[in-house]
Amino acid sequence: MTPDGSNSTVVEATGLHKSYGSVEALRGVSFEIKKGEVFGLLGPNGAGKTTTIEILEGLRQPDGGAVRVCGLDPTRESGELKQRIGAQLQATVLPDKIRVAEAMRLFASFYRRPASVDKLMERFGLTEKRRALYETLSGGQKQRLALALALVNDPELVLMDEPTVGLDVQLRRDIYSMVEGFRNEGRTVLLTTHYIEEAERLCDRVAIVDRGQVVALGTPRDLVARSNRGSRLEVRVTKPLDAEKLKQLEAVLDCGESDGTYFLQAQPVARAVVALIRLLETEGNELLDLRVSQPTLEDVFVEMTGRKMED
Amino acid sequence: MKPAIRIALLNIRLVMRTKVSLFFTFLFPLIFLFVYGAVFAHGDPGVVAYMFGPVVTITVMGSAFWGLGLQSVTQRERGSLRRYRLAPVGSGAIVSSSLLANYLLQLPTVAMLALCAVVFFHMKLTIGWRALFILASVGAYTFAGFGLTIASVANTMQEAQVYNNLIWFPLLFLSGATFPLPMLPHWVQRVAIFLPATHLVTAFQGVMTGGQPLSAYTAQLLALMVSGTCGLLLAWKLFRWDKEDTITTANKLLALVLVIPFLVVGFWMNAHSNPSASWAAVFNGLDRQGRAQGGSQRAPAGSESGPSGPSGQFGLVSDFDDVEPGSQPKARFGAGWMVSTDAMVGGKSTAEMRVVEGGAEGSKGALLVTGKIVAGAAFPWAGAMFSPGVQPFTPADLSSQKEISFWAKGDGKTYRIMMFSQDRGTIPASQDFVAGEEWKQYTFPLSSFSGIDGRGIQGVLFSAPPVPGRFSFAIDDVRFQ
Repeated sequence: MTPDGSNSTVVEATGLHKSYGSVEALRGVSFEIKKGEVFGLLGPNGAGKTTTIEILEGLRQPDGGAVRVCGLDPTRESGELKQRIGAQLQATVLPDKIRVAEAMRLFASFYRRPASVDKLMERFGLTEKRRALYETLSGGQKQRLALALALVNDPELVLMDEPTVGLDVQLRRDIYSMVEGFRNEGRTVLLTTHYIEEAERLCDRVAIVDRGQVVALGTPRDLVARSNRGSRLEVRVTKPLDAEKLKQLEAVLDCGESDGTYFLQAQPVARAVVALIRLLETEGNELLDLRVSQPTLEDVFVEMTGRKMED
Repeated sequence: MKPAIRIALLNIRLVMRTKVSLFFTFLFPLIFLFVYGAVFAHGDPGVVAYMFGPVVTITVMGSAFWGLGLQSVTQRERGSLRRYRLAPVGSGAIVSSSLLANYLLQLPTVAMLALCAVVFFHMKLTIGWRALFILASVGAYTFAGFGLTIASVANTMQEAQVYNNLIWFPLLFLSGATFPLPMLPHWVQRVAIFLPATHLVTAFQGVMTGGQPLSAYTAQLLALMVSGTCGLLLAWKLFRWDKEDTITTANKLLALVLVIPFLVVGFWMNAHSNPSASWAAVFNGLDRQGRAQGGSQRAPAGSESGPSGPSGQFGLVSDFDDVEPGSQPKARFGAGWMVSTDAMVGGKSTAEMRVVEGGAEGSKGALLVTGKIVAGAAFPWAGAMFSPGVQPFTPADLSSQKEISFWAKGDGKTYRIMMFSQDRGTIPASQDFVAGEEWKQYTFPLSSFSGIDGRGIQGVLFSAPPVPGRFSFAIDDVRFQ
């Protein structure tokens, strides 16, 4: 079931393959996106995210596999598809001397059912900049304009390629709010990102992509829950502990120590905490500090690929 | 078509907001006009009219190659085409919007050039606004096809600039756009007939100063239109949205199809007409000081297909006895007599001619030629020229004649008789003669003029030597025999 309770599929990608010369960019990518979902393609640079999104937009043709977007073939029914999707490129470039409102009205004029340009400019905080030339806009304003252009045809599916790359924290949060707004309006969203926080915060479901393959797929919570790495406990106590005893505690997977702080990997974490408290009582030791952190999608990525996201 | 029109209108607005684009679109052509008008034509309205075609040709070519073509490559390299690609806008809309924007910018530019030439140089717009519109439209359309083709076959900006230069310089220097074609060597004229710019330049000059109808250039204009259309179709077919999408060598070679119409029309013109003679006729028929543009009005229109005229009728050219003193001379055949000076190449020498009383051997009249040689031109000259063909500088077949004879007298200086023939292009062969106090007859075999055989003679010029100063001489009883 999808967030809006329906089961309709907006995007179906099955076994996508794409090569650039001898480089295999995609090696059998498959996933589905249901109506109203915010779906994330998470992976490091060069994983194949942009190639995947460009195939869905109809900008590239896959060498193999099948793809349907809004029930249409992106290659053969490109014209109709473009009427129904909105897309924001990783780097949107417009002519330097074009004005904000001019760009909005020009692109709106290409569609059968354009959205209200004035309302979009207001929503994306561009009303005051309506007469500003593109070359005078800041990076954040350009990104907001790119997003507004993606909505200029009131699309049912919004495709966003790395929407927050290169933006500062505040601007990223602005973009997050906008994506959440898309979700609230019932639009389906596909975004690519290599930021863990972005995927965890925004996406209903995530496909972790690495070297042209989907290595994990599910909700962020499920993916983390499926992780074998467990939660992480940071423990500080009044007297030194025997690391071997800690390792033998129930539910503890691994243990280490640094500067008097003990780090435990535990699964399930609740049992490990109870066992730890019992050990401390037995040894007459006192707990000074205890911190528990959940595994992240980064941990999932490391577990799946053996590498960190930024490698 | 709506997206194409909207994008074209946007492109025009973008040009209006960019100082560099404004300069090259509007101001640069004006600079060309004033340089050509003031420096090359010395402000002479007749010569400005002759130079107007080259200025317009350079304007539309420059805009297409260095504006439209490179702008298309820049858009692709910058990535600004990709946003259009996400919208329901096809490559045809992008190509046609570029064409339309360029065209809508070129028309007012050409109109402005015409207006400035009329206002500042007193040029008579003999061509008419309708013909001017047609020629400017054909030029803008054709060269837009060329510019967009280059943009579509070049993978990078550097590559596009190399292609532009390879095409631009021959078109600029070998087509008559910079130097009048009749001044260029014969082999260059042979090459020029295959260049697109030549057809636009010569059509402008033929209509504006040669008194010819636009329909006389139908074949040439058709070749331009066909080639331009091929260019636009090719630009559409090979259009690329992204700089990462490179083009294959085989597809690049498709651009050669643009050359075909000019090969066809070039060979056709060489086979069925004499373009060099036609260009020379327009050039030498220029009426300086703007008295009456339309040189061919001096002589009835005739065949331009090579040397002409019944050779049996050649003999006496003029004895100057058949007109009243003070009148302009008449000739028994050919296009007649005209003053010829180095002003047509930017010099300042002057000459006048008129029939006066007192010819050789007691005859009634003679032709007095006076004037002043002024240093400045590379080869200063001034004098009187006889054209044996049906139009000025049209070649005539005088092979039945063996020599030229005339009487001369004057201020005692040494003068020159210069023979222009088709074989030698614009470089004449000459013989010297002294115009002393008494009449003296001179006879020169035609073969003494660098071995010419009398075929394709375009003109006989009696000129003062290239020594600055005033001159005065008279000639009488000029005849081939």
